[in-house]
Amino acid sequence: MTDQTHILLIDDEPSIRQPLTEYLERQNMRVTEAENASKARSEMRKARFDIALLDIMMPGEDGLSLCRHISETADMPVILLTAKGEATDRIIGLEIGADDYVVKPFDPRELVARIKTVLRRAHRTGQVARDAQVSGYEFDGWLLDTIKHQLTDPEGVHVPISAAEYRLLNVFAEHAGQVLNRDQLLDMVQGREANLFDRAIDNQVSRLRKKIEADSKNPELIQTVWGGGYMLAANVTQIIADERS
Amino acid sequence: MMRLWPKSLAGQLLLSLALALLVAQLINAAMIYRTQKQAIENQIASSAAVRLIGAWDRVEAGQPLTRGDNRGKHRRPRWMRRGRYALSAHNPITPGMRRLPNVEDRLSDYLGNNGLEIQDIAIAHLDQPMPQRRRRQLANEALDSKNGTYRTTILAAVQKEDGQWLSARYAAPPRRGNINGFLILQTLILYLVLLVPMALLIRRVSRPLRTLTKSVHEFRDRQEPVTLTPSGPQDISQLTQAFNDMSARISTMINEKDVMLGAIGHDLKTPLAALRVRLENMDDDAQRVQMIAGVEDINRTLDDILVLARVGHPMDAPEQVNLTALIQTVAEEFADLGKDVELAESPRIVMPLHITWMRRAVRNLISNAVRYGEQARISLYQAEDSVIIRIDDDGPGIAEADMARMFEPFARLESSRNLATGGSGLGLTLARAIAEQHGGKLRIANRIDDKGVVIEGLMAEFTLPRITT
Repeated sequence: MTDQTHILLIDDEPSIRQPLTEYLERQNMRVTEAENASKARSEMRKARFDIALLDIMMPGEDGLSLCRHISETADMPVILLTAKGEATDRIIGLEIGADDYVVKPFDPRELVARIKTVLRRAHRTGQVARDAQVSGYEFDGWLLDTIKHQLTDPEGVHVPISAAEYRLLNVFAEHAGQVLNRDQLLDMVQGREANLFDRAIDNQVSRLRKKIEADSKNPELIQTVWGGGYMLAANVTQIIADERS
Repeated sequence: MMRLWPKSLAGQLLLSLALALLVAQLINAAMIYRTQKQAIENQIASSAAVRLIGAWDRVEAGQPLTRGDNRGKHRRPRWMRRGRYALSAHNPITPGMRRLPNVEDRLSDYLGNNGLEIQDIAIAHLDQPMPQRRRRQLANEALDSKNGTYRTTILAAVQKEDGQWLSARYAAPPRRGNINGFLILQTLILYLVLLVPMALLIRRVSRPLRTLTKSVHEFRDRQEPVTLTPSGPQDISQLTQAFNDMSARISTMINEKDVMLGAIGHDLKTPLAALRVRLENMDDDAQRVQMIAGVEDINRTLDDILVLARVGHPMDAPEQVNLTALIQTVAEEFADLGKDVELAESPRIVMPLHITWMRRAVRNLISNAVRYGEQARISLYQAEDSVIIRIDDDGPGIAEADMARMFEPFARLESSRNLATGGSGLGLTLARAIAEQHGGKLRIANRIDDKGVVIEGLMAEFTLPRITT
C-alpha cells in the first residue's frame, strides 16, 4: 500500500504515542514512533516519511531544535504538538519551519484534518515553494501574515479574524484576480472545523467584507462575479520569508 | 485652617516644634514681666516708706518739712532734698490720678511694722516729670540716663490720726530697659539652635522614606527585586533593608509561581491529551461524547487558571487592535455554534490591547450571557474618555446580595443562575482581571428599563479607558 500516508510520531510520552498510533492506524495511516530526537533522526535515515508529528517539550534535544533540523534537511512537513497555550511558542514553531500546530489536549479528528490539509498544501505548492517559503501577502495596503495567521490593515492595526476567514482570505490571496466559484472555494478552504461544511461560503465572505471593506455593501476588495463566484480584486504581492541561516 | 497644616512628616514636626517653642517663650515672657512688675512695686513701696517714716519723725519732733526753715539743727537731711514734702488737711491724691493699690498694701505693711499709726494711705503714679528747681538736679536725676526720657513722679500720702495728710513727692525709680527686644532675640536664637539641626535631621529621615515609597509603588509592576541603598538613621535604614529583603522574597515567589504554573500546565495537559486520544478509540458513542465533554471542561478550567495567574504579568506589549472586528469574530464563533448572539451596528474602534486576553474576556462574557440568559445582545460604543462593551441577556439576573460575590473565583450561587452550568467559575473573575489589566473595569447589574424598574436579565459593562492621541 504505497498510497498510505506514512507518519513519524515523535513524543516522549508513551501514554500519548500508543493510543494516537492506534487511532491513526484506524484512519488508514502508517505510523512509526520515536520517543526522542535521536531516535527520530535514525528513523529518518532508514525511511521516507510524508509528515512528522512532533512534541515540543521533550527531554534531551527538544522539538523546536529537531523541527529546525527537519525543515533544513528534509522535504517533510511538520505539525507541532504543544502543551503550552502560549502564542509565542506556536509562533516560534511556525517561524522555524513547522507547517502547523495543535495544542494538547487536541481532538484526534482535528489532527487528522490538519494532517490532510498540510499534505494537500505540500503537494500543491510542491518542493520549490518550500525552499522559499511564503510568509505573507500584501494587497491594497493590507497584510496577511501566513506565519502568525494575522491580518493587518493599511494603518498597521491588527484586525482579528476567525480561522475560517483567515483560510478563505489566504485562498483569495493565492488566487488573486481569479474568479473562484463556491465549490472551488469550499474545496480549497476546508480544513480543521467540520462545521465549516455546513456554512455557506457566502456567509463567510460577507463576514470578511465587514472587516476589510470600507463599505461592506459596496465591496471593492472581494468582488462578487455575477453567476461565477468571488474574486480578490487587488494587486497581491507575495512576501517571501528571509532565508534561514 | 486645616489647609495650613502641612501633610508631610517634616512639615508637621517642624511646625509642632515651632509652635511648642513659641508657647514656652510666651509663658517665659509672662513670668519675666510679672517678676519685673513686683520688683518695681517693691522699690516704689520701700522708697516711699523710707521717705514717709523720715518725714513723720520730723513732724513728730516739730521740725520743718519745707526748705524755708532750713538751717542749724533743723537742717533737712540730704535725702529730703530730693523730693517735696507737705502736710495738708486734705488728701493730695485726687480721684483722677493713677493709684497703685498693690504698692499701697505693701507700703501699709512697711509703715505698720515701723509703728506708725495711720488712718489711711494713698500712692499714685503721676505722668508728669518731677518739677525741678536746679539745673544740676535736672541733669542728674530728672533725665533718665538710660533711655533719655524724663522720669515720672510718685506721690505718696498717709493720713495721720489727727486727720492731717503727710505727703511725699519724688521721682519714680528709673524704668528698666525694654525687655521685649531681649525676648524676641532670645526666641530667635532658640529657633535657630533647635529648628535648623532638627530640619536637617528630619531631611535625613524623610528622604529615604520618599525613595522607599516610590520603590514600593514601582515594585507593583515589576518582577525583578528592587534594591535600595539603606541610608538615614538606623530605624530608617533597617526599614529600607527590610523592604529590600521583602521585594527579593516576593520576586522569588512570583518567579516560582510562574515556573510552577508552567509545570502544572505541561504535567496536566499531557495526561489529558493521552486521555483525549484514548477516548476516540472508545466504542460506546454516548459514553465517549460525555467523557470528551468532561475532558474539555477540565481543560478549559485549567486554561482559565493559567491565564488568571498570568494576568498582570504581560509577556508582550499591547498592540493596536481593531476592537470592533475582535468582538465580531468572537460573536460569530458563538453564532456558528447555534447560539443567539446579536451585535449592534458599531463604529470602528482601534485601541492598544492584549489581543489574546481581550478575546478571552469578551468570550467569557458572551458565554455567560448565552448560557444563563438565552440571548446575548452586544453593543460597542465610545463614551467621552472610554470605550464600553455592553452585553445584555434575558436570563433571571442575579440577586443584589450575590452581586459582589459573582467576581470571586469559583463563586457558586444558590440561585437558579448557577445550577447545571458547566464553566469553570472563573469566567467573570478572569474578565474583570483582564479589564483591570487594561486599566478598565467590569461592572455587572440587573437590567432596568427607562423608568428604573428592574426587568429580567443581566447587563455586563466592560469599560476600557480611551487614550486620546
